[in-house]
Amino acid sequence: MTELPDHMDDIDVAVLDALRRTLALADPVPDHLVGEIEFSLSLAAMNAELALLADDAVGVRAPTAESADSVTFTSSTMTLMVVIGRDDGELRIDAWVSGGGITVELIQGAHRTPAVSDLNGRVSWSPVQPGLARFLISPLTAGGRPVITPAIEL
Amino acid sequence: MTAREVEESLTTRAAVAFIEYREGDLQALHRLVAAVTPVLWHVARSCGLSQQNAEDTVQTAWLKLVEHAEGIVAPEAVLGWLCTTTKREAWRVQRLARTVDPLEEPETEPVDETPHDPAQLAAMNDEARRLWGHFVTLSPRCQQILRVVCMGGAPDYAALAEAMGVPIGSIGPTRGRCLAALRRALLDDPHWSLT
Repeated sequence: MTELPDHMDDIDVAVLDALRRTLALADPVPDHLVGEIEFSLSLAAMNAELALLADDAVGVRAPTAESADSVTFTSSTMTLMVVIGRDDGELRIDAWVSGGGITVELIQGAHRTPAVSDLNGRVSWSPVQPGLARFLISPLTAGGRPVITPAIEL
Repeated sequence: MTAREVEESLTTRAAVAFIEYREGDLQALHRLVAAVTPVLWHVARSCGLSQQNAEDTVQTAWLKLVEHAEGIVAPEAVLGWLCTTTKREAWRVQRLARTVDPLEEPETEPVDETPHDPAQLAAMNDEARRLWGHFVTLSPRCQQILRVVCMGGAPDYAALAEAMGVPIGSIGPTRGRCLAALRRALLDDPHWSLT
């Protein structure tokens, strides 16, 4: 048992404990927050470059994510064009990146689905769950920076 | 997590995880984030930030920790460092939103204390609803201090209060006054019992 500071007694501790339980109900930490922080930290550790939406100098973030059938992202080293379509009623994504043999990850929340581009630079995912998604493109050269896109709404 | 575990360990758990992270254990950073993020959330919210701004602010504080990890000399200070960094970032965000004099420390405004989400209200049990009713009658400054201090245990109280701007010499009296007001309100409430 830790000694209580400043003449606090067990009732004080019980009041603070009850307040902590109340705050967990009245103003809970958003469920996704810890996951998003860990994702940001891993991006920072990778020194990832944030791609921009072509035709839009400002990165799109989750609450204002665009709903689009086709979007293009650009970075200093690559371009990624993403086409969202339907295949037997299921969402499907086809994307083209600047080169073959490049690993592109589809990231939806904690789910990450990697795919490797073919000789034409094409990668695809099907079926895909609706919701927010972003893409992580592995470095094109050894020692290069990975590229992460802003989130888009699928 | 039991109250006793919290009481005995947040500062220490954070320090241990921080040391392990600096020694190259990336999993330790995840443990640190999981343990301390709830505290930082309430630091940001107690500064009057909206949910979205609070999320961004807490995230920024963690990015700053990774950036400045080598500069933190005493690992046991990491909890206080994170709280202080979150608070300063919260002020910066507030200033941007309000264009107040940048040299003036903004007055803390109470967070909108009413849970608006019906599901949230429904999830609050009787104890929580009663305590919340008394809590929101405290001064904004007292709400801010207690909101953050209660997230730690006894060994963390001083560090958390200090990080919220309570001068070291007055931590006991200031925190004590706020806590005494809440305690009195609860003990005077015939429908409330300490369990």
